[in-house]
Amino acid sequence: MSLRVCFVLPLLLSGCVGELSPLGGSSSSDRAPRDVTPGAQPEPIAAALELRRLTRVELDDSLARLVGDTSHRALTVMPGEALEPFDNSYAAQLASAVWIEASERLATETAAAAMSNTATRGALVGCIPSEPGCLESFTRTFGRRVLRRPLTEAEIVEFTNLTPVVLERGDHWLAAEVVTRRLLQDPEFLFRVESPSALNQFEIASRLSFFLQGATPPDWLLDLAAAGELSSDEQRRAAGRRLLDEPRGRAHVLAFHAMWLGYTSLPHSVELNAAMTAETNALVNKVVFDDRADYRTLFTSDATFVNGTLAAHYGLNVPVAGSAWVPYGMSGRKGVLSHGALLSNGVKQNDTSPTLRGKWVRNRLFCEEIPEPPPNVVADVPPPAMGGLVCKKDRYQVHDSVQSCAGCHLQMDPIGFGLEQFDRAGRFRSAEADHPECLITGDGSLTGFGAFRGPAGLADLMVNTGNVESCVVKQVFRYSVGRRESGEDAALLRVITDGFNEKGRKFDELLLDFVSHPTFAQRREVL
Amino acid sequence: MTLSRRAMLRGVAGIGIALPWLEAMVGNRARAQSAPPLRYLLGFGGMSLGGYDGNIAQTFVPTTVGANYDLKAALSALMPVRDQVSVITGLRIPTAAENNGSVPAGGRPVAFHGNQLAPLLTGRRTQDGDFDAPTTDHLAAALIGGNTPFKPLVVRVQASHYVGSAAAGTGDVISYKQGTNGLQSVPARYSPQQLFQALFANFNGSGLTAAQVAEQEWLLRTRRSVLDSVASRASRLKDQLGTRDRQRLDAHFTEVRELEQRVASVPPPMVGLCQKPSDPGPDPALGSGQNTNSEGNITYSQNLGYSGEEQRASVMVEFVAMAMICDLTRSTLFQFTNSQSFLNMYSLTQQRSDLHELSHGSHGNATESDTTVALAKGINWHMKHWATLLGRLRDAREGDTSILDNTASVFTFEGGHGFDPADGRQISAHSTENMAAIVAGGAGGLKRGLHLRAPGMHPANVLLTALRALGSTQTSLGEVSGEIPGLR
Repeated sequence: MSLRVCFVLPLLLSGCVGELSPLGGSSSSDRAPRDVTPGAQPEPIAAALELRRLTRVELDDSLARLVGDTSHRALTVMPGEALEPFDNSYAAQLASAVWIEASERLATETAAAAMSNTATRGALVGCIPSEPGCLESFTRTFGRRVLRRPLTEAEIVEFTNLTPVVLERGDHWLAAEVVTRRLLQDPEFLFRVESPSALNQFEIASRLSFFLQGATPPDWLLDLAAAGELSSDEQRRAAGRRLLDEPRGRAHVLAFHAMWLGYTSLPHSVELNAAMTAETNALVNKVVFDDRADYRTLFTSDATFVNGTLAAHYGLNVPVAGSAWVPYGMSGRKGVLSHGALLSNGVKQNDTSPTLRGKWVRNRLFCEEIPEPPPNVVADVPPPAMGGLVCKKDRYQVHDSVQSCAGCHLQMDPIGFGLEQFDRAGRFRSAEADHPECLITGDGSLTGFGAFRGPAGLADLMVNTGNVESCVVKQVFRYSVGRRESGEDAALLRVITDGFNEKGRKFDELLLDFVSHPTFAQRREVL
Repeated sequence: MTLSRRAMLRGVAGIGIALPWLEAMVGNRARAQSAPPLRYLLGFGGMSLGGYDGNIAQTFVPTTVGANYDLKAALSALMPVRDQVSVITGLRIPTAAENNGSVPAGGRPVAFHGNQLAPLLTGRRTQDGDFDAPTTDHLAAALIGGNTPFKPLVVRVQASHYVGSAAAGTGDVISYKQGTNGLQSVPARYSPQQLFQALFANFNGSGLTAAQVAEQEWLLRTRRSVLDSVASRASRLKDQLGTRDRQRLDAHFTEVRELEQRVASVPPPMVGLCQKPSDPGPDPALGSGQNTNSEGNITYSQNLGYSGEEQRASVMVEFVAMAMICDLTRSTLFQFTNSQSFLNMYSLTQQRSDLHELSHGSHGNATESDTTVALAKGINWHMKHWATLLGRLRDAREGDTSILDNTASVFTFEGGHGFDPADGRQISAHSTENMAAIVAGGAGGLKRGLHLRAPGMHPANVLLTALRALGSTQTSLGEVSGEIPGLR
């Protein structure tokens, strides 16, 4: 009777059985001493890529740069992307009537807004459209910014040839508007078109800008491309540094963390959501930019940036005024794993799910996949109270007593129970809300690495495993290429991970190491 | 005459008439006067029929079998069209639990949400929720769509999934077509404004001044010029790309050209019942995802998990009706809600719950002591709008018949009520036992106004009956064969 939750047919349960080795998959090779077999490692090769479409956020940030439109129109007009956890999985970027119609509307509304703004349209167009040659010069300069490359003379003729139909109206600003519309509907704006093998200078500029700012290149970067000054690894690194130091570069690092660590859309009150987001963003900013600290500090920081509401929510000392860095002290908290923003993940039925939290830690922080349950097993209901088992921990232990379940659940549940003293909003608790007799100890374990208690204990254990570094490199890679890594990517990931470890684990240097690696200027097709 | 396609589009008057599909369309319209076209209308609601307690015999399943059946709470809104509607009950989708752990033909894995859509809508089993066959909206469009511009028309009322990022347009894709590179998903149009533009932008509204007509004509011509210019980039771009990139760009350009053709298409004559609906204006604002209060309960205030779906449903019902009346489409998939729908029901049924939780009664917001009674109100909200649509089609005369007379319509539900192999409950919302379908229309001799019990048959049997009523000769849909006895 107690086998209802996870039951029957062990033969089908291949999943995790027999894969209980210590964590890390490829990470064991990441940590192998490099000088044992010199020259035996395969050389890094460029990541295989398919044509990628701009995401809603990339569209909005690009339109902000191109025409100063900060209305985030794409977020409302374009269909939303699934977060897997990143928004740019190209396998999901399928053509559809819905998307095409929305992109036409986006271009139309953006162009109309830009050209109806009499205060700014002059600067955008750069001349008076009714003057001879103005539309051509506007098409030339604006077209280079939109398509991220210089236009040919034939293209300028083609784009401005749209204007006869418009000029029936006798309104030259309208003609500039239609040229703008046309450019914003061009596939070379909507897609990141790249040469099949070696990238040209402008394609390198686009890669740099989308990788480090999530937007179309700024003018100075296009100028560098035009001057042929993005060829060498050093030139790319220098341009990358400049991109990273711009406000949009910082914002993009935060956006990466928000998707990776799961706090783009928190499920609490508006005030709490804002305070939690600010808390985690503050720590990322401090570690990456302000202190340029060892990246592991993200997990081991002994203080956190909270306002009065969030400090009281956590049971920490309340800042005297506004927001401030507050020491964790003996609270059992440490680093980003103690943040409400992260502890809001892995929840179901209005409570934490030790299974889902454990799975989340494995997926996001160790870059491991836990297989989906086979068709005869269900994973989406909480263990019901049965056989007189009231306390959550006792009920979940049913998983461990059934051989067919234990294979996977032992890789997840014990991690979740180690975080169980912190509820779905990150508040401390020592007993179950509905069953005060059920005490929560917060004792957990990480298979293959040992026992821990609470977020602080997990953070220490994670740092000791040495897996944090290789996983964050993988996550950056996944976000940059819009897919998961494959075996072909292992050599590149190993080289970058080694550099990260050897140079003090500075996140900005990690990004720039990708940029200055020769493969950054190359493209390989998916075959 | 050997005018190029672009030359035709750039011409002034009679634009696009030379496009072959348009000629065919005009031809079809002419023929339509002697033999009205057949239509297919598939509906979907993302809920089961009952909750974790209660009995659907008291809320959903008519007591009377045959004609003059009784309508209970979940279906009471169908009363105005009951004589046009047949209710099929007792359907089921088999599960892996009854087949030694492997998914049987037409069946699903043990886990519920997301896993029943493929067998429900294609009759084919799924291991993980993935579809591997086209859905009936596309099968019907190929069968009866002629050269209508929307083959099929796919719409969804629920604006967002409402959990997680709460992004516009997120949710189930339940329409699949056979593309050149395999099965291809077809996301639904979810924006009323964009649906209006897609369907009716080229219509001549009544009572327009000459200047307004000229303005509209100019707007359309500009759109066509821009789209044509975009489409002309295809060959130059594709020359520089590798195979996979070219395939992606091909799919993009196909959509561009199809949009260009829709923009260029000659609108149907605004005569009789076919009229341009009024512009719905900006879409209702997108509600944010579900939030919790300090007690950890979800707060169902009005703008969380809700984006004006009442208004969206009303507008889309009118647009779909007009699209069918004007013969813009002969096959429509009308999805109201996502499966496992987190749509906040407060504005719709005054229940402080989302649609999914109505049948589960959790989140501390249980609205009724009986979850099946609670869910009946949610189902009936769907039926209210469905009845409006069916009524519009019934009242739309074409010759001696109505559009509904020439339609085969099936409304399907995410789940049924009864045994849940996942947790062993005998009474559960997470069940594909005791499923039902709401059939309407009289195409191909479909019988209307009956309650039919079809114990053990599959929902795909109902879809197959509808397809055969439309003239299909297929004897099975996916792995499910046979019609519902007595439905034709």
